[in-house]
Amino acid sequence: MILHFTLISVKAFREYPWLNHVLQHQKKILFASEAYTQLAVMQADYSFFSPNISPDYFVKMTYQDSSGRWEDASFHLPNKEVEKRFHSCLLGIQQMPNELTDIVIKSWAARVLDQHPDAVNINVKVFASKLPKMKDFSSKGKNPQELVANLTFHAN
Amino acid sequence: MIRRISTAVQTFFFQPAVSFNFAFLRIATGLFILIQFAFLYHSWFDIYGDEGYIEWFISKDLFSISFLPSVITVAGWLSPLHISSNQTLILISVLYFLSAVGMVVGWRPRAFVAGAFIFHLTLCNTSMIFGYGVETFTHIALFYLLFVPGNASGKATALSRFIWRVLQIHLCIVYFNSGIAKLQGEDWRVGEAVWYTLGNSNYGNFNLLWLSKYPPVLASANWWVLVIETLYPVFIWPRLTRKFWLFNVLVLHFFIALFMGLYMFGVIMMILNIAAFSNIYKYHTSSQGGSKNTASPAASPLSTV
Repeated sequence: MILHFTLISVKAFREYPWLNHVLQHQKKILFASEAYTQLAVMQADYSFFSPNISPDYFVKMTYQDSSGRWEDASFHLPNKEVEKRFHSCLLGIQQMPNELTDIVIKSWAARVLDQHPDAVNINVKVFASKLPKMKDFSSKGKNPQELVANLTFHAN
Repeated sequence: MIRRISTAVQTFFFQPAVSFNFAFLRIATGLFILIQFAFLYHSWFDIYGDEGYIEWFISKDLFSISFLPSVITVAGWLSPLHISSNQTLILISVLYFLSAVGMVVGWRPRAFVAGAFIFHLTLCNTSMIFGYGVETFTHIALFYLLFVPGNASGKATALSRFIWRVLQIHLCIVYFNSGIAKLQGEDWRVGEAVWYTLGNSNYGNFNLLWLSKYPPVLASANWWVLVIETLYPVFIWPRLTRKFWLFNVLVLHFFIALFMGLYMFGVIMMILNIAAFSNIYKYHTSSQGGSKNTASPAASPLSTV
């Protein structure tokens, strides 16, 4: 039991400076914790919605058909549960290096191409938007959306 | 003194207890998995499939842990048998579904829990990027059920009590970690986090932007979340405060489900909390005219010490 809680606690609290400092010299413990927690209790990182709340992320996918017209190609997300999973993916890729984010977006574009074989170009835009503070929102309204990724792929 | 402490620890961790709450956890988790199937059914191949939202050749390197099973690795094993990747996914999904049914039915519960544990891990490890807290807590429930799958009318055992305590302590770590991680963020410290969450269209189920006119309401909710989570390990144990704290945690998860659309996450957290800290066994025995003196795993930890 002591080992169980040590390993899941190492994973859960590893980002805190005091533990992080210790773990820098104890890589094997970190690896053991990672391996054990993935197997037993999955990620064991319970810092949901922290330290701060992430912005809204939106994806806009469009394709250009052979006549040159741009059409919407957003994925059909049939319910909230699927939406949450796609949103989880969006949050995940924001924390990745740009080249990896591009690979994921390229995968989405490939899927758009599967669904629309007549597509000549496929464009994927990711926007972020964070609300202002409550008092600022009352006077100024929402902040403008920020474009965080904009990639166009040629079908051929 | 040392003997008293030793006896107290012995009683706390090993006094034989029935596994009724684990039976509840098993059945509720099994039903939960089946409901999750219903929600994800139409997008199953999009999430887990070879040519889903993220193709396997990308998932394999970026979102899969190599030393754990995934549908991708199983498909590799089965490909010499001319079983396609989609057929492999169907096979694993059907086995996962049947395991959940077996958990609910209760026949050979440990075998079906083990099946659900392995197939859940396999599916999650295929596309980790699409997982969120709900996967973690489903897995936690399945992990502890491996040790005590639960039997509504079984005899009391020390193992049942011990695993129960481990689950309870685990939940304390979860909420404490969640609470102090939030305290490190400025959004939470200035009382704006609930506002940002409810106003976030990725989560918000309703348009609650009008609440910006009532900052004290949202700031109070913000601090309520911080207090409930951070002090969970302190107030969930004493009999005097347990019901109040448990009620607040259940309300918190109900609100998360209702206002943030995280239905499945809210439900699995409620299941775990009810299973860990409620005294459902007492109500079960009362309704059946049984004895209340039988050692229940959810009986007050402090009152038994």
